[in-house]
Amino acid sequence: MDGENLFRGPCPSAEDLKNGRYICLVGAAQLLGRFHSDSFQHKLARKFNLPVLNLSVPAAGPEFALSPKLRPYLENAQLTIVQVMSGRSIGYDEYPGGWKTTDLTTGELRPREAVLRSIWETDVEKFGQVLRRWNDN
Amino acid sequence: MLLWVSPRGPGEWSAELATQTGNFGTFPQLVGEDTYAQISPLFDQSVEVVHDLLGTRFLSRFKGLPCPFVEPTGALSLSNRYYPPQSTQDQLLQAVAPVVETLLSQECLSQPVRTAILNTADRPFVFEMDEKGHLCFTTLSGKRPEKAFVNSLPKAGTYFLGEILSELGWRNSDIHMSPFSLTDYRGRSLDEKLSKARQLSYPIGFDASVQFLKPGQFSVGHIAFSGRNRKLLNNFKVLLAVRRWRDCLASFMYFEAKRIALDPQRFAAEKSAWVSGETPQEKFIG
Repeated sequence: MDGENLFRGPCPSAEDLKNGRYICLVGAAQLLGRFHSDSFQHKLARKFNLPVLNLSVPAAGPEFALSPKLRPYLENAQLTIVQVMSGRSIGYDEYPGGWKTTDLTTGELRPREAVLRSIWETDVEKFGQVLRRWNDN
Repeated sequence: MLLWVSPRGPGEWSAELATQTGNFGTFPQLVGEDTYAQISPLFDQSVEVVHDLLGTRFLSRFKGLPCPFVEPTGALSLSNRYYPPQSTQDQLLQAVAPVVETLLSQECLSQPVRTAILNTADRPFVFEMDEKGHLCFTTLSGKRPEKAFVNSLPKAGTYFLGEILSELGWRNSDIHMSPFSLTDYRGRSLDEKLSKARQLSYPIGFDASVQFLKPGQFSVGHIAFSGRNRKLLNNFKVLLAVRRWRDCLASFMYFEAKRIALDPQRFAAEKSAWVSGETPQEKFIG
């Protein structure tokens, strides 16, 4: 737990964390192993006889891996595996936030994908511009 | 290492496609070949795993019946078509393992493990060797200075106590000790522990096996009291787990029914009454 998110255990021992004796996973629900009791995390730990610190959370976006609270754990690991995360979970100046953002036409907080779809349905050209800026970010 | 996990390849979505069709792509939405090509050079290695999206049905771990889960919308659902199925967990390991091995060895971070083989009556048992050349089950130890042993009635919370010991700083040796044998669960999944218990058993008795534990490690088992066993556990932290006999028996019945289902040859012919019944209760009574 980092104060904001709950992570999937088991957590490596304090000694292993200190000595960097672990593999670190960062991703979304897929690496969290949602719905699977014997997930990739557990298989990896057994295969390499190394503890795995799983810092994956559902709906995480690309910015999640850059969180200052998590970075020391990523950098101290023997190996860090970062999943390619969804572009719908990252914001930019015009539409900030995570997988939810403020719809500028209504002022409502809505899923980013729904906001994008509304833009596409009303103005395809604007949608192209937004998408390019989004991708650049 | 960068890992792509998706039912599609990076090249199967592009901003142009989205502009023309309004298709934002399956997970990872809005990420295509261009973005992937930009970020992958930032990593030592990248691995792509494209998985299928066959609906996974959820079954109760207790009764094996279909088990619904609650969707974010609040609706009940019996199968999942969004998240990767169980087969993907194996696929991920298969794809990633060679790269992980290379990266760990490149960095010279993984210590080579010295091993020794003991030829038991029917097959070899593999020990690790510590820096002094002493045999042990694993060279890895927890921070605790003592050895520990969970001695319990079967189904009285043996592994629950084991998990608590792990949290407290002991390392699990993953060896289940019995008076005349041990079961080697090192590196095995829960399913394998249930289905392969017979194959993982070695004729190494408690008086020998208990001596291969190192400080900071623990094992579990169901060991009866005797003066000799008390002496063998003299320098151990011993946790005794007991539970109401009836509850142990009821739990053991379901446990054994599950093991028989996974390993029908578990009992010899003379005990086949165990497997001939229809229900766990009938199997158990025989």
